[in-house]
Amino acid sequence: MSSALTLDTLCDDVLLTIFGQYLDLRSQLRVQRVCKRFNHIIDDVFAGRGALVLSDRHFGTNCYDQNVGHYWQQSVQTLSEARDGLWMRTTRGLKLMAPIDIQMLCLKRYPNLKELCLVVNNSTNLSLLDLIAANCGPNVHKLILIAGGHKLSFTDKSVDHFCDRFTQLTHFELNVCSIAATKECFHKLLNRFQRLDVLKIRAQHLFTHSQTQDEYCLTDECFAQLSHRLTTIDVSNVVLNSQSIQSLAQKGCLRSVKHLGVYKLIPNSMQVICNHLSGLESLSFSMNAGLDVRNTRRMIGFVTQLTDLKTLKIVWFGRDVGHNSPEVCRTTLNALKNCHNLKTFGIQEAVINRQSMDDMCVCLPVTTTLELMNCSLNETTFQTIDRWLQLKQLIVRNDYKRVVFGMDSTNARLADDMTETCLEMGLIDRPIEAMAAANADAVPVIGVQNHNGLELFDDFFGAHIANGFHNVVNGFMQFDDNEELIDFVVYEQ
Amino acid sequence: MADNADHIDGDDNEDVRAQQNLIKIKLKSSEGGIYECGLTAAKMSDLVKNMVESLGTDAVVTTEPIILGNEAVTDAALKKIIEWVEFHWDDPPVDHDFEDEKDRRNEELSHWDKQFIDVDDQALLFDVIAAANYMDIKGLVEVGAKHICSKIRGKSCQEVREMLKITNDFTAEEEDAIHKENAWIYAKD
Repeated sequence: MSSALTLDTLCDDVLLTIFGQYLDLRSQLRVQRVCKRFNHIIDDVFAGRGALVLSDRHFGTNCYDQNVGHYWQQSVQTLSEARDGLWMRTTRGLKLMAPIDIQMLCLKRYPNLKELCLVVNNSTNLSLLDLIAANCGPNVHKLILIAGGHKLSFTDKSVDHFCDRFTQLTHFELNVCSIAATKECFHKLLNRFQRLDVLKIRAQHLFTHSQTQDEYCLTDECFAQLSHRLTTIDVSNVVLNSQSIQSLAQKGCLRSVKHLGVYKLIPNSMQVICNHLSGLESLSFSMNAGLDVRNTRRMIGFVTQLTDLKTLKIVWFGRDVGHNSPEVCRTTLNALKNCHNLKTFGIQEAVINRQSMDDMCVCLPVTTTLELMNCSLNETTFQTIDRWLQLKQLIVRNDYKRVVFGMDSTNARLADDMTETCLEMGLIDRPIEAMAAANADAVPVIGVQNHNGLELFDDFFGAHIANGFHNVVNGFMQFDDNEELIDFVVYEQ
Repeated sequence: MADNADHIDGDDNEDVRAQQNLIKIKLKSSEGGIYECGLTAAKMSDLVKNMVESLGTDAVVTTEPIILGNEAVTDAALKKIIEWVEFHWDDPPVDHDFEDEKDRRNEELSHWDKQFIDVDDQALLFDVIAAANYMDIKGLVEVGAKHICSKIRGKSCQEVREMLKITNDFTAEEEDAIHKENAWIYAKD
């Protein structure tokens, strides 16, 4: 039988399955050069692939390890059937010569992406918006851009490009160190996306070209046209104060907003929010450091007026929840008994000691899940473990490697023990043992969701910034002996 | 008779499956050869399974051969396929659960499967895979795919061409262009 006949027996579909599902990336690329037919098939493999996780493990100095194909393939498979998206990240810019180029190269290879998460770190002098607009397919409807360590500059032209390219955008998320742009740029950026539904902007500094940091340029004017379409607004460190909210609300702009994240609230702003956004389903805000019991009571009092509220998250910014004034904590918790629909109560960035944990177990309604995000727990916290059963569910999440059990890793054993205990008690929403077994070095943490934060954010962001995307990616990270992040897997929530 | 029909549908029970495999049905290749195969084994092929179920009863199934018209189903390929399903019919059902799927793809082939699929005649190998694909036997397609990929992995383009007897139909420029585009991945090749 002639050779041509032999291969023709296998139709393209079968070859597509074979090459697409059982070959690693490097082999795929090699096969592509074999003949024209294979070239087309591999192109189809790439075009049809819905989602990818790319980390510098795959691209960086380690990228050329023998195992990489395997790693690559695994990550791809993890997500490929889950979502149509492309998740790219490079953790440390330092050793990598080509990450951004490679990312852009990859974008070209996947013209039909629907979701894109780009993590670009430490890259300088980039006109990021231009690059993305030039290389990314137009079908993206969810775009998450995480650019640490450098200042993003938006120019009129780049914003124009960007907006023209991504007309389908419904979800736009920006996690950057600082943004410099004119008011007009922001205005344009936010208002040109006709379908936008979710907006999250987190930046430490947001300033105009005048370089005065105090002059925030994302004003309520920028929101005016846009916000009546949005269902989610989460803008930390961006001043959207009580006046802005009031004026926006009075214009009817915030009617569709169901999820709100705002920061540095005082009781008055809370009052405004609760008066105008009575339909809120989820609220996240930071507890002002100077708040005393009376003001806390007022503030929470307003929250309890939100009858539809299902999720409440409070950022405590590294302070001991109960230490300075156990009353503040207890007042908060007691007031929550009036929130009858509350399903999840979250505390972020706080120190949880025995007393406050105890209070939470006792005071929270039995129908409410307690979620501790990036909180610091210690042995004494665990002395209350028998009370945890009074909670509907406990979720402990962490963005950082070591925070859960105090600041040093000597408690890794404790973590193991506690994880086990919690699993036995059914307190944790999804067990991590499978992951831990598959990756012996995987970080043992209570709870499951875990994403990088250590490498990416320590230098550039305050802890609270890293919270920004626990809603976006969940997964676990893996460290080698030198505590270098070597692998990272994400799961869509 | 009604009982039998029920049995054909409900094959969760191991005993029933074993019992059913004693029933022999006939499969006819595209070259005309007719081969016997246990019913449970034959139903590993979704194509055959659907045909049998649409026929309904054992009586019909056991008399008339099921015709597999695709030209990939040669006598030799069909014999191979029957060999495979007769060995694998009592495998635990594969859960196409997302996580498992991932693990399974990375799993090595069993010794038996390796021996089975490692045939010298490449035309037969491709026929078996194509026929398995036509007959919709997922497990066997997977075995074939893994086998081919294990052969491809680690080989240069030229070696792949030689192995699969493919002529390079690229011009030098075209090949160069693709190579350049992917240069980053070959850095240490």
